This record gives sequence, structure tokens and C-alpha cells, in this order.
Amino acid sequence: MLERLGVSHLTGTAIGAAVVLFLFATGHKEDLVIGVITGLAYSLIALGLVLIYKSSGIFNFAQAEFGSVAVFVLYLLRQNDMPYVPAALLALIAAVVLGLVVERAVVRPLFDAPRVTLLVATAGVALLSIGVTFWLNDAQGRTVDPAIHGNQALRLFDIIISWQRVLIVVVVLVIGATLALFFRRTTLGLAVLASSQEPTATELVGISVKRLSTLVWGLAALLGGLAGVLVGPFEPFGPGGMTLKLLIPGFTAAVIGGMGSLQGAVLGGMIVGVGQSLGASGGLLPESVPGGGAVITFVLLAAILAIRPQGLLGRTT
Amino acid sequence: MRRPRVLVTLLVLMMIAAACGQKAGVGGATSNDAFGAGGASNVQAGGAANGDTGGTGATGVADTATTAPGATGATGTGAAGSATSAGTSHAATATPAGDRTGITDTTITIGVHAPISGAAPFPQSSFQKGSPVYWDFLQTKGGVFGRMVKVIIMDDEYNPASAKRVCQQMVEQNHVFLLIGGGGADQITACAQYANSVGVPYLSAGVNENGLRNLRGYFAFSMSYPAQSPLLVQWATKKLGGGKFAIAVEDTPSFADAHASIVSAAKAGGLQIVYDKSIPKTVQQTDALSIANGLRASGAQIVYILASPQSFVNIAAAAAGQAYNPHWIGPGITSGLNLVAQVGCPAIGAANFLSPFPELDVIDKLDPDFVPAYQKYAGGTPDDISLALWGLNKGLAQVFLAAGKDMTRQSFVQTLESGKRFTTNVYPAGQFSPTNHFGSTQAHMLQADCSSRTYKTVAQFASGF
Repeated sequence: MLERLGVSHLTGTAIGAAVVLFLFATGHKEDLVIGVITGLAYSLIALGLVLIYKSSGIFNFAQAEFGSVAVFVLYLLRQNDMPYVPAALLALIAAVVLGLVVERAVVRPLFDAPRVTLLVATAGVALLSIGVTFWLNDAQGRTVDPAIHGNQALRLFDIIISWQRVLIVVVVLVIGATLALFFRRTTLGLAVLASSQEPTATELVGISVKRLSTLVWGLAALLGGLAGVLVGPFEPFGPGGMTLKLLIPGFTAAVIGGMGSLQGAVLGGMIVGVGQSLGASGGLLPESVPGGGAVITFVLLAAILAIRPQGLLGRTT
Repeated sequence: MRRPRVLVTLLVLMMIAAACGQKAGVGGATSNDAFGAGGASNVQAGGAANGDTGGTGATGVADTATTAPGATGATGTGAAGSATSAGTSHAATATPAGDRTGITDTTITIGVHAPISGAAPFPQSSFQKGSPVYWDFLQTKGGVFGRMVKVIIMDDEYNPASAKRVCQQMVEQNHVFLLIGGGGADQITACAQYANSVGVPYLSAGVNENGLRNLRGYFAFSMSYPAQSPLLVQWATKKLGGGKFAIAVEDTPSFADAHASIVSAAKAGGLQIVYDKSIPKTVQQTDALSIANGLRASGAQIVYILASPQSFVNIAAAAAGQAYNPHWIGPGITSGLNLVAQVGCPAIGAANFLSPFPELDVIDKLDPDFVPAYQKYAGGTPDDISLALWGLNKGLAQVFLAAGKDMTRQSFVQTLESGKRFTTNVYPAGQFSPTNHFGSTQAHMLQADCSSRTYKTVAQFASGF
């Protein structure tokens, strides 16, 4: 409907700014800060989801499990006294390897199958991963150190933000920008987009769609792994921890932002985070309403999809 | 035309009523009467489990029955309606008329539900390895009148509906003699109410009192959360120096009594309540940050928290992430487990939690049998979940022995209500009566030691500070 009314991204930005001003005016600036810094963690998952969706039209239910595997590997390596940086790098490599294995063993054999078959297949991968980590890990909770120690990085509107949160903000913004440039400015990025829209034509001009698929799954797994390594230290994790914590908010963020839009994934993450924060603090709903954060998030989702089905920054095809 | 419709309607209603009445273990036996006297008929058999056929006389529990497997302290409620005088030690020789579901000549089957997942990722192996240890140990001393106790453990997923489902499964399919709740107030309440409705005894550590107080078959073998509030306030004022006090209680009706009692106790104790809010049952990162920010902004120095261990750890971590480190205190069963210190440190600091069982640092003095028995029957190093199970089973064995060889569900309940004191030296002594099923007045105080990532026992069997 907004599209028909000619509402542009600029107008969307204006609406966003108005919402921010409204939150400030009504004394919810703390909710805004908390929402943005937690929402950017969801954005990491949303970026991976969008990446795979952009390239192959698949909803990847195993996206957060790349994070679970990464944080579990990081934990194991840190338990064996490996220094943080190599341990984190190996954890990310483990996530990428998992992504490549999934692509080769599950996605590629089903490449020509209906998308819903692939959706179910990725859900199966997630369940398998949870089962394996449960088998290896028991149900016991584990903790890992943050990449940067120190609780007080900066204070924003009376909210103290830790260094690890600052790191997430930086990583998400850098990755979001890099991916946007990759898809807009590089031949490889354009080839990925082409393969998603016209796979046959892409093959005809000599580009291997399957190799592009491998690349995209590797990148998505890297993003999932980053989510695990960066978000994992905030609280104890167990088997399937990242899927439980991040997958639904990540999906919501991706859909709100527009499944094909990387900037939308970042924006959607922040919107989900702010919605949850307002619900948690009793800012919009009475505290007696259980699950206020989820209520607000899904009301927002429904409202945005009702007026703009392709998401805030998505494009109609 | 109208008459046949009426007839059909009546027929349907009759069929529904008949079905309700005959379904074994479901709905037929309701209320506390199922635990009446020995004459109560077997719920599993689908009969009228209302105890009307039995008398309500005092049970004949002999004190000597708790000390040795061979003691003859059976209850005197063997025959239907035979109310015997208290203290008689003769065992009922006739076939007991009460409900003996779950008991054979060689085994007693009991069911345990616990939040193995959901509240915190507890290691399932701890439950599996720990639960049979005491019974294996007791078997070398003759068992429970020669019977081995078989324990069935099911995960209630920290969800009341799941808890009721697994309890129903254990009652109807596994035919357990009794049920035990391992933790989680909502789950314990849901399962205890179900158990009471089908005439199955139910035991748990003390949680809420609302919803449980009037259940004849329910027994709390440690202090309830409301009863722990004065102790916690005493600890806060005398040991922590008092000051600004925050209250964060999980958003469930089950905790209404605990919340009211801590508010009342804090005011009476002169604490300044600066934060008093409910928190979600499942605390996500955004919730944790928001709650932690509210607590920090309130300036609270001591935070009373009544929530799942997972929620507690998440909030403590979020608070530490905001450079806010209050002293956390609370009642509970599971927040004082070493697992919580392992994953919660350093954020939880020197948190204090009351607990129905002590920590491993003092168990060798309190009960020297535990560690050797665990090493012998389970192998490896015991954890505190195993200790909790050991103490629970030890107390349960005493009740079994006191109830006698021909124990029924009714005589089990009556034995507990007899006023006899059950002492394990792990859990505080329990002493119940027909009007008081919350039979403990003591608790252990635990304190997190983040240098070792464990809890230490800083006060044993405390009834005040």
C-alpha cells in the first residue's frame, strides 16, 4: 500500500526518525539503546538468512546452528587453553566447514527440488546439529569468554555498554556495508544475484551456479559463526542455544527488513530489538502482560507486512 | 421428534459420565479423600478411590521402623476401616486393602519429574547416575523390606503442561507408587494437583504454598519459599548490612505468596525496597538488559531474585555487563547448584541462596556414606544434583520403612502425617501432621565462590541468622 502511495526509502527513514523522537519524548530512550544493541545481534543472523535467500530463495532454518557450532568449538578450544584469537578463527572455520558440508551434502542434491523441500531439509540439518551437540555436550550449560574484556566501554543515555556489545555494533555495520558493496560493485556479487534470478541464463554465460551456491553458503555460515562467537559470551549456551535465542528474532528481522535486502536485515534487527525492549520494560504494555516483548515484535511484524508485504526495504519482484 | 432427541442427549451424557467414572487414574479419584484410611480402594483399578470404605483412625506407626529395614513398624491400617491406636507396632498381616500400585514383592517404582531442560541446561547424566545410588547402597542393607526401589525420571521441560503430561504418563503407564518433583514451582504445582486428583502421593522440596496447601497427598520436605523470606531478610540485614533492597520475582501466580512474604519481611526488617517488579518466566537477552538496567538505576545493593537459574544467570550477566554487581540472594532449590556457579561466575559474585541440601564441601562431615557410595555405585566424582537425590531418597527410604512392609499409598501418607520426625542429616528434618504438610523449619545457606566456581555451605540447618 505504501508502495502505491509512493512512499520511498526516504520517507521510511523519516518515519524511523519520528519513531526515535517519539521514544525520546516519551522517556523510552533507554529502551531504544538496549533494543538497538541487542537487535544488532539478531541482524547478524538476519544477514545470513538474507544472503542465502537472495542467492537461492531458500529459508535456511540451520542458520543459527552455524553459530551454535562455532561457539561450541570456541568453548572446547578455550578449555584447552588455546589463545582467544586463533580459537575464534578456528571456530569460524568450523562454522564455514559446516556450511560447505551442508551445501554439498544437502542443498546441492536438492538443487532443483521445490524450495519447500530445501526449507524442510535445512530444518532437518538444524535438528541434526542440535542432536549431535546434545550428544557431545550433554544438556549442560557452558560459557565462553568475550572477545574483549571490560564491562564499561561507553555510556549512552545512562546505559552502560560493554566492549563486546560495541564490537558487535562495529562488526554488523562493517559486514552490512561490505556485503552491500559486494553485491552492488563486484562482478562476483552481481553473478550471485544473477544466479538467483536467472540461473539458466547465468549458466549459459559460463558462470557455475553451483560454485556460487557454495560461496554463498560459506559466507552465510561465516555470518552465523560470527553471531555465535560474538553473542555466545553474553549468557550460558547449551545444545541448540543459538537457534533458540536467535533464529526466530533473526527471521523476524529479515522479514521486517525485506528478505532480499541486506540493509533491511540490519534495520529489521534493530526494530525487533527495540520492540522487545519496549515490551520487556513495560514501556508500551503493562508489565503484567507476559511476553510483552514478543507481543510487540509480532504486532510490528504483522503491521509492517500488512502495509508493505515485501518488508521495509524489500523490493517487489 | 423431541423425545428421541432428549433420550439421545441423556444417553450421551450417561456415556460421558460412565467414561469419566471408569477411566483408571483419571478423574475418578479426586480430592484428598483418596488418601483417607487403609480402606481406600485402588485408583489404578478404577474403583472409587475416595476412601469412604475406610476409617480415619490414627495410624500405628512405630518409631523403630525408621532405623532398620527389618523393623516391624508397619502401619496399622491394613484392613479396611481398621483404625488402630497410635504407636502400635504390629504389622498388618492381612492383605492390605489400600492402594499398592507400584509395589511388588521385589520392587517399589517411583517417578521423578525435573526440569532437566528449560530452567537451565542440567546434565541428564547427573540424574541418571545419581538417582539409583542411595537405593543401591540401601540394598546392601536389605533394601526396603527386601525390595529395590526403581526410579523413573522424566524431563518436564520447565513447563507445567509438560510436567502434568509426564506425571500422567508415569502414573498411568509406568504405574509409579508416588511422584517426586525435582524443582520448578509451576511444574510442581501442576503435577501435585494432578497426583492428588488420582490418589498418588507427591513429594517435593518446598516451593510455593498457594495451590498446594490443601492437597492431602502433597508433602514439602523442605521450607517453602514464603517460609524462607524471613531468613533471607535476616541474612540481608545482619550479614550483608542491609540497605537498598530489590525484589525480582518470576511472573507466575505460584510465586504470589513468596512475593508477599518477602515484601512483608523486608519491610519488617527495615530494608528499603527500591525495586519490586516481576520478570518473565524466560528471560531473553533484551529482558535481561532491561531488568539489569532497572535494577542498576534503582541503586539496589541487595537483590532478592526468585526465578529459574537460567534467568538468574542471564540477569546477573547483563548486570555485570553494565558494571553493576549487587549482592544476589534468594530462596530456591536449583539456583544454588554448582552448575549455576560454573556458568554464572563471575557475574553472580558471592550470591547467597538458601537450599534444602548442603553443598559438597561439608557432606563428608554430615553424611560420610555419600561420597564412597557414589564412587562405588555410580563411579567418578559426585555432583550436588546427585547429593540432592541421595538426601531425598534417604528421607524417602525412612518413610517407606516406617510405613511398613505392607505399605499402601494411604498408609504412606498417614505415616508422614503421624508426626514422626524424619532425619537424614542432608535435608533438614521433616515432621508433618494432618494439618501441616510443610514440615521443615530449617535450610542451608550457600554462597557462591567464584574462585572455585562452586557454592560453599556457609550455614547448615539454619532456622535464623
